[in-house]
Amino acid sequence: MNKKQVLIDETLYYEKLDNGLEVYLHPKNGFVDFHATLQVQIGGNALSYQYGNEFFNLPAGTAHFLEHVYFENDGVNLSDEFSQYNADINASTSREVTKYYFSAQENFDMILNRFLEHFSSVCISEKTIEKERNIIEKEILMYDDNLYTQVNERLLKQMYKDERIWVDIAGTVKNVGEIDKLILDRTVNHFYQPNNMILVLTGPFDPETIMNLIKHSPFNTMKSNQYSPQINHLQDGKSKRHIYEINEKQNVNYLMVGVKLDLSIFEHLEVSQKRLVIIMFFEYFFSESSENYKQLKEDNLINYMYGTHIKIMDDYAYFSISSESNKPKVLKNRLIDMFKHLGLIEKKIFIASIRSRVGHFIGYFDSAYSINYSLTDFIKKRIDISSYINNVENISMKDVELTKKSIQMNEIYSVIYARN
Amino acid sequence: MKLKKKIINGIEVIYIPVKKYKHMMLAINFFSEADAQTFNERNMVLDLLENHNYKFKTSDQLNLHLDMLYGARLKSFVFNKGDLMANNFNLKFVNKKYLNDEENLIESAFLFLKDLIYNPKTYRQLLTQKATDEVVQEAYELLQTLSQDKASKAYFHYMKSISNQEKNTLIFPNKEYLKQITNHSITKVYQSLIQKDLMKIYVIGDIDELELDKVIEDTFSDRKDSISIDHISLSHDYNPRETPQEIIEYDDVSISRIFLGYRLPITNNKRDLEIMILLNIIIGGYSQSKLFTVIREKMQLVYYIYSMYDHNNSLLTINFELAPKDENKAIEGVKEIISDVRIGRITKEEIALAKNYLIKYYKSSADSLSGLLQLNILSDMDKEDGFVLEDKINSIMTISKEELTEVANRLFLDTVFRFIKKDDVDE
Repeated sequence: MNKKQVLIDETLYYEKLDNGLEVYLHPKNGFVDFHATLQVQIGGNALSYQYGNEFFNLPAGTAHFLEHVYFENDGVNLSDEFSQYNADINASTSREVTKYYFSAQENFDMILNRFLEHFSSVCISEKTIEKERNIIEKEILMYDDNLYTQVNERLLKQMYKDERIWVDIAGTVKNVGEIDKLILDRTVNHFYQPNNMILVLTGPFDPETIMNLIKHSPFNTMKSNQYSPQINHLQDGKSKRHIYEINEKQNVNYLMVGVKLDLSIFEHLEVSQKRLVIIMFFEYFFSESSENYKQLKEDNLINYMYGTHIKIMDDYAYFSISSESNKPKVLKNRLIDMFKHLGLIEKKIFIASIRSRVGHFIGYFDSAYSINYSLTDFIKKRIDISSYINNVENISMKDVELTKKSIQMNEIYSVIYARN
Repeated sequence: MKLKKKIINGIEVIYIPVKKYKHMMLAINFFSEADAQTFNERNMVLDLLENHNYKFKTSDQLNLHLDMLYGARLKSFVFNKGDLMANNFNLKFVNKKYLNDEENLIESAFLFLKDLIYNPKTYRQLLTQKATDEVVQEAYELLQTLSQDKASKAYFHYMKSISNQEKNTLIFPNKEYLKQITNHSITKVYQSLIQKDLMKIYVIGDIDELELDKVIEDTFSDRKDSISIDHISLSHDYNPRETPQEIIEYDDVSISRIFLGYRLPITNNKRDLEIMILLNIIIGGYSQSKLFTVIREKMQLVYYIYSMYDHNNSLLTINFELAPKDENKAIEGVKEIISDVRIGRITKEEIALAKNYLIKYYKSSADSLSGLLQLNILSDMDKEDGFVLEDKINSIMTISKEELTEVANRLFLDTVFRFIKKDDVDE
């Protein structure tokens, strides 16, 4: 088992099992909660993928559907079973991954073993599929009247023709109706294999004992396939860059502006540094502490619904700003103008930003939950947690300012949903 | 863990020493009696102080300062226990032993909060008109945004309909009083906060007591003439309704949002409160609750359904969203579950699972820095000597089925609130 010193009194243990499963163990002695996350590399973007030399298509919402049915096996519901052990179990699906997680305070070894046993072989029944289909249809309806969701999806639709980037993770009622056992079983076979998963455990345990348990669990007898599914996104957007639509039923005007980023200019940086310089750059210019924000606020162009979002994937990245506004067209033009006239970064703010990130990172270790969540996220983004502070402290102002060059001025899009 | 309470410069100080965390938290609380007339100002003054400070001229200067303190996190909020209200300023900052830095972060943290609270921008001894206009404007914007987000709007209107113009009005902002806010009225509330309210300081983390004593002594001047909070009720009076009200509100929505509000006439009886918290878990507090297992899993009518007990307002709320055609079926299902509980249809297993769940919740909260701080503040408001996990567990374990049934029989339905699409009324 490999061992990495993360902080003066924090150690991470790591091993890749023979079947390809990556296991991360972070002991937290003195705390009461155990947390376990099994992360599968399949999310809402799995609409089409390459598997070996073949290409497959899936209805939107397939990964999310699997998440719903995967707690049931042979008439046994893992959620009901875990409640008997006083363990909470849940799952979530994002655009890129599906996470299954539980927390417990006692009998962790036994519960973990049961968890691994369950995920080593799941038989999805027709009955479970029909029950969950009904529940998912109700879930989809819940978000139908959310204005932010509508505008965000519309913006991404304009920015990227590739629907894997924007399609609703749960799919539509129609998509959900198309999903059947055949599709689910094939998707499990392709995606739910050990080399497409990671296991992250935190809590007051002995790492050797837990690793030994994992190696003797049925999960370790699972085999990985010859191929892993591959998803590569397409970058093209639609030719119509700016959308303005009126909906008289709205009480407010809502605007979202997005710009694509060119990641190729960051190749000299380590993964965490690349992410951080982009985040620090846009925080400097567009966070609620920024000069631009102050200007927009003073001119009454935004309200407290103002927000920013940065998405950085391996093959695409964008930055977006949204707000309610009384003058959405004016705000749109101001934001585009701001993108074109970004100045230099002040040294004292840059230093403060570095210090802030160091403090927040240390804070992740104040609970078994937060370190489990952060560690899983870091691994998903391929960030080395043990050199994080060092990498942060070695970022230069020049690196951050480089982000200016990554803004693709000819790839700025906007959506306004206006009330009149 | 043994709490240390002391008085420094007339201020009550409570230390909660715990060694395992890498951060420390410092909370300065100002306690007063809830008052509907000044409820808006009490909430707004926190935001005003954060954004209109004499030393940190702008919010970006304030944030820069927090970043320099290694990303210290500031939270200010209002909360209440019955009629006892607290304006809380809370700062979380990293323990200096994890940094290669000589700066005394504890001293900096205290000085920062002192500046934040005592050094606002003023003009002729009043908080400025500009600052007042801004916070009032934000309150109006909040109301406008709430009206756009259907889920929030439904909840907001449900709470308004059930509140029945009660003392602390339950929700912020209160539109009826917004027009009355001036820089004079907000200054008056602010002056009361810094001069009259009972001020207490709580510090949690790996504490050096002597160092903290000195920092507090050097930072805060003598505090005199604070109010007494002993007479303030820790439960909240409400106006009981003789028959349940049924309210239907129409909107452009794709799904029906339903709220059932049950009232429970309990005063500050700790045993009743503990029983009600457990009863809420059994009814709809988690994934093995009666509501979840029956209305979602068995009847398959909803994606989510839960109950939430709000002691401060003596209110048990049950909320769910569903297709319009299923509204009545679900409401009847909920009422049947409450009736079942009243006649003692709760199994031993349901009680045992709910107890385990609740105990797990308290253990987890007491395992987190902010959770442990809040548990101790609430315990202090209850005039106890600090939160003791073992006592809490023992108390939960002794709750009987008879006690649960007895409290359930005191629940009465106050409001059924339907937030639905006009065309889809289910007759």
